[in-house]
Amino acid sequence: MRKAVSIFSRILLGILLLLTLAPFYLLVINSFKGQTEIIKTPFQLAVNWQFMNYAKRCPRWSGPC
Amino acid sequence: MGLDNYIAAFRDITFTKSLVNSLWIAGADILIVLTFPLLAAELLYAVKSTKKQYVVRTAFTFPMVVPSVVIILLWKWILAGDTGVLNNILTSIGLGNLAKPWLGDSRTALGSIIAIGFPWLGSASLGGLQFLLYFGALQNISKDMFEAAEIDGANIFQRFIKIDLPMLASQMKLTVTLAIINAVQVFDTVYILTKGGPGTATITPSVVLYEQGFTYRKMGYASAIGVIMFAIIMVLTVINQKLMKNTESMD
Repeated sequence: MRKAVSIFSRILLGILLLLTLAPFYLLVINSFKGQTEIIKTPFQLAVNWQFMNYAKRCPRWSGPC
Repeated sequence: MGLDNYIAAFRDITFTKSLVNSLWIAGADILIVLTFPLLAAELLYAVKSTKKQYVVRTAFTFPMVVPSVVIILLWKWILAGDTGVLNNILTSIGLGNLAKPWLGDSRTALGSIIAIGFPWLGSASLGGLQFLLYFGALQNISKDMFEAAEIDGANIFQRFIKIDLPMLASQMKLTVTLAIINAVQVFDTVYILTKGGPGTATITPSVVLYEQGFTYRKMGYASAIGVIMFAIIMVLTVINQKLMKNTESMD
């Protein structure tokens, strides 16, 4: 009984951990995609890695932006 | 003028609707902070390896580090109608008929606002504060008590009821107080996600205050709403202080 509870609690904790990190994973991987790719495949890693979103934020890459 | 602003506030359908929404949010928030973060803290406390515990705890404090606006915008994208991640998931597992514009439908908008964030860590705007409060308190409970309970033959549920819950009473009281304050004052989540809509489905007193004060320039009326919000928070906090016991009184 105790072992079953322990296994169940670890699985539950793992799910909570995944759910906590999932939005941040989406945030990071989608920052390297274009709009179409984000809509088509939001969960997958970028096929064509784009750094335009960062370049737009920091146009000259000089000093803090 | 006298009490005109206050009378007008209670005659204003939008404001009374915002109070009702606030009560729903407060009730749901209280239920959430008393269950899910406590469960998450207990699950993590049960992990024996200090290293694993550290890794999970760090991951659970992640939402506190990221600005709340980022988290809210992220959830706006997850709950969006056409391009939303949630609808994408539902469609991909064959539940496409359940897909809907979660924030655009008046039946699901308030529920969506309550559910966003990470309920197992605490209320949305406070990140993982409630979880950390519970986890810290669990770590402070003397190991002797757990050992004594084990010798007496107490199982995990009896230990939770007889030791953990009484020892966490003060933290529960604090988390409920914070949940009440947060529920009545909630502004950023609602304003970014729905601006109180559709219609007045998700409007809260803070949004009414902002609109009356800064859109319609009715500063007196907005101030009256602010005073009413303060009074509501005060009354609910006093009730909470009277109803819930401290850990000391449980010893």
